Amino acid sequence: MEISPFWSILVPVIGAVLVALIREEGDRPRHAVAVSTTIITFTLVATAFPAVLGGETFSFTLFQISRGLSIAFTVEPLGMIFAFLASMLWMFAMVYSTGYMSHEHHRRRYFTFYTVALSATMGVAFSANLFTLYIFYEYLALITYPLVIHEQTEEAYAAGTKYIIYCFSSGALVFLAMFSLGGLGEGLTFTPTGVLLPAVADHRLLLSLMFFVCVAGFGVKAAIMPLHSWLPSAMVAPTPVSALLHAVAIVKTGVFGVIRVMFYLFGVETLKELGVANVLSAVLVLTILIASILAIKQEKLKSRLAYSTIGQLGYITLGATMLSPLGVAGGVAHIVNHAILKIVLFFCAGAVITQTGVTHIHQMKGIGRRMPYTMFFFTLAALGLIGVLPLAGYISKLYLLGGSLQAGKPVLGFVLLVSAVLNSIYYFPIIIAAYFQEGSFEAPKGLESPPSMFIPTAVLMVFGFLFGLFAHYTTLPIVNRVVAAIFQL
Amino acid sequence: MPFLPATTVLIPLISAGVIMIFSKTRELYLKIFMVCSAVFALISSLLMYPAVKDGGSIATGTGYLAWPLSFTFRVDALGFFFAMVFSFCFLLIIIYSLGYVGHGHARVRYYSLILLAETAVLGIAMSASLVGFLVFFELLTVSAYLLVIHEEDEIAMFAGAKFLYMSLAAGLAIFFGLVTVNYLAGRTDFVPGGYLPASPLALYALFAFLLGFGIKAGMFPVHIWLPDAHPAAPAPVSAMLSGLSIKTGAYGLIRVFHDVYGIGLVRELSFDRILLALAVVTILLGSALALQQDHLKRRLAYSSIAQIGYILLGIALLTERAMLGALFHVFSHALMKGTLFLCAGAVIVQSGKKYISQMKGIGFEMPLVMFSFALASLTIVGIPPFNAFISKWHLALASLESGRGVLVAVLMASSFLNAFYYFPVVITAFTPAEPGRIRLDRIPASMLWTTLVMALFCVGFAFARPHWPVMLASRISALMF
Repeated sequence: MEISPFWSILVPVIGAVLVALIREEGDRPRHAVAVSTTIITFTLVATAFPAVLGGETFSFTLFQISRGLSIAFTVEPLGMIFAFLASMLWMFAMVYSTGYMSHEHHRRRYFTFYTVALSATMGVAFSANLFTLYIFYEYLALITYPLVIHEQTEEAYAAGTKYIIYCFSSGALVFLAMFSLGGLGEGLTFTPTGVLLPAVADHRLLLSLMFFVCVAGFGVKAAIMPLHSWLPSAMVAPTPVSALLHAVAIVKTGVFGVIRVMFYLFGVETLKELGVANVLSAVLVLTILIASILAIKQEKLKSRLAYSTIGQLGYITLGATMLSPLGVAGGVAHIVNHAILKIVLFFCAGAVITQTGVTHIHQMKGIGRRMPYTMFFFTLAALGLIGVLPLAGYISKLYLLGGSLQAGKPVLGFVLLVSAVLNSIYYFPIIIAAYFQEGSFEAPKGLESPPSMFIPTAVLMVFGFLFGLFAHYTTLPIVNRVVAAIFQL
Repeated sequence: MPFLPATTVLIPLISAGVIMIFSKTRELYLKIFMVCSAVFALISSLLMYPAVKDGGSIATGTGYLAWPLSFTFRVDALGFFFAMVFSFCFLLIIIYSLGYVGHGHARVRYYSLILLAETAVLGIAMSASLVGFLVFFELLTVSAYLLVIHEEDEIAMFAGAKFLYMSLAAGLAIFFGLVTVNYLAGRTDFVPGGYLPASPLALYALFAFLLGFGIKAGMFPVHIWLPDAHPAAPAPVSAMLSGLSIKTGAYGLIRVFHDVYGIGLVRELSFDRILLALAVVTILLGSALALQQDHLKRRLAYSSIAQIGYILLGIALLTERAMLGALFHVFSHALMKGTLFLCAGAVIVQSGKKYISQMKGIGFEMPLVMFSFALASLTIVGIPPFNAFISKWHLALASLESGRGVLVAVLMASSFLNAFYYFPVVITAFTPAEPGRIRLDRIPASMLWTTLVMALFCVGFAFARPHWPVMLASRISALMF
């Protein structure tokens, strides 16, 4: 029981091996193994959730390489949020994949890597120090490469190459920071108040520099501009991959890494002392605005969603850079809310692509006739991301705006509002075209998409409501734990 | 009966859901069900009168679902006043709709949406806090948008998009205000007398509220969605937008001024002067532009801008008498403008004519409708003793009392302009090119009699003694000051 969450790193590996053993034609057993692996993983994580919420943390050192360099895991609130979210969404995405991939090639490879990627994500979530985080971070980049190039087209290979170059350069930056900071903080172990405060007096310049190196390292995956360009290209991957890896898992590991480094390595006090967060805020403001404007210009549905993701990830990191309790709470809550709503958007896009072959927005005229419910979920999720009450997105916006006031920087809050207007400008034309423009689509015969795709979308949309209406019982308690730990409240 | 505020909101909400679910049922049943639910919503809101008439309030709440989201429905005299106007006008508009959408497309969608819109406006009137207000405000945005684009032609889509984006921006502005209020005071509920401490942030938030509510109300310079949305929408929807939806903006401003900021703070921030200036521009601009329109519904839309200006003027003066004028104008304008739009819709249904220049002699073809139009015109121009005269009278007196005599001139000028753009319509209608026989109106009965009833209510209240809407409005304004 004590170490049950740590098994969640191992279980997907075992599951992936079993998946890999099943021959290409064996779809049914493969689906069964893959889906049950995610369910078991989720259960392992979920059983530890109440204890973490109650204030307990578990630690576990796998082995020590040398003094100050060990592979160690810890289960604490921030990691728990991420692990819980990722393993939960993985279940739905796996079920969705079984429907989406039914006519695709190389299903065995796909499901193997799709399963094993969960292990890396769990590793990132539970890493206890920068070294462990770095290892799993690189590991995740490596095993998602086959998923990105799944189509094996010219374009996919190009995107894959770009992806791997970006990911390994970012890894290199993290590596550099790890060595530079190694001597300054005790083992670079993540602690809620940071470990680098004692070093500020003597190594001010080094710390400031390494902060940016670290943030740039994780910022590649968090798609902070100008390090974002891999994300829109990586949209050539199959939709469940885009959905999970690029809206939830990979990009969120980047964001998670940034937050980890900022608060658990540097600490609030150190950051205030160094005054580096403001620079990052400025970069993020530009990221949010530019990404939202670029999203308007995208003609391809998935690219538009990708640019939207870049903007939304900016919210999360921006919340962190506010260095105020409400802002951090908003950022962390947005990890959850954005994940749920964005995965619904991607699931809808995937359903549209598989059922009708439509990939561009101008082809979507009248698609509401063919897929009324899918587009309805799309509408709700888009409204949620814009921040319409009472869908999940508004909770994080509320906290982020509060955080900007608390930090005495109302201009950051204003940026979020402008971005929300831009969001509506790039989402609504899709919805309006889908429902109110004449197209050549016919009403569906029977169900509009396979149940394995339709049900996960519907259930997650219900979650989108519940996480907004009952945030007090879902996201907020554990988010408050994180904030209380970081700010010593 | 503590559940009344909740039932008032939930009856139309649940009915909208039921209509969506049973959309395949025979349409007659759906229609009957829809009208019944509107009647029940009206009854439910009227039943709250005994509890609120002496300044009391009743609340039904869920407690906090997620901070600070709580669905607490609370009604006090002000909320009751708006809820009464909303639910009464909605009943007539819904019955009128039965004839208007008649055999058109997407009728079931229309039915459920109009009930959702009713939910939204009643929810706004029943909300106990800014958060609840905003939830229903967003619901109103979405449902009204879908109603505006009901025709789905190019004009409607363009007007609808303009309406949608501006309304969403309004929602975000209010959201910013809400967050600031919550940050400064730790609460967002409505408390008579207000509670916000003075600070620069409070001023920014007040500007955000003004922007948000101003967009909804059609205030200059953010009125630009209104003249497009009204002509493009189906006539009952125009009546709803003009008579009721824009009033929610005014209602929000009253709530924020009196129950969040407190009038002391509003005066201290000199915000009443800003609103006053905007209100004057809104009145004059609306009236002047209305004069130039040949499209009947567009003329009515510009007139709505002018009329909302009166209401904003009454709010901005921050005196008891001015509030009485504003509140009474909410009531009378809802009826007058409702009637006028219903008449315009009837003309379109019977003859397809949309431009005033085409309407020569139409009074002989549809005498009852144009008679209603004439009655409502008399009322809106402010001929004594009709309704708008009473509100203008109080507004003028209030302006004098606060030492701003120039406002009286503004009111007078606007009334003249009103006369110039309403009476020609009536005159055109009743002076045919060649004399013909008078024939009775050929429009569905449900449209005809709702128009007549609304017109009679417009006029009837002028002669009712005791004049209870005025008494109610004066009691509310006395409670507020």
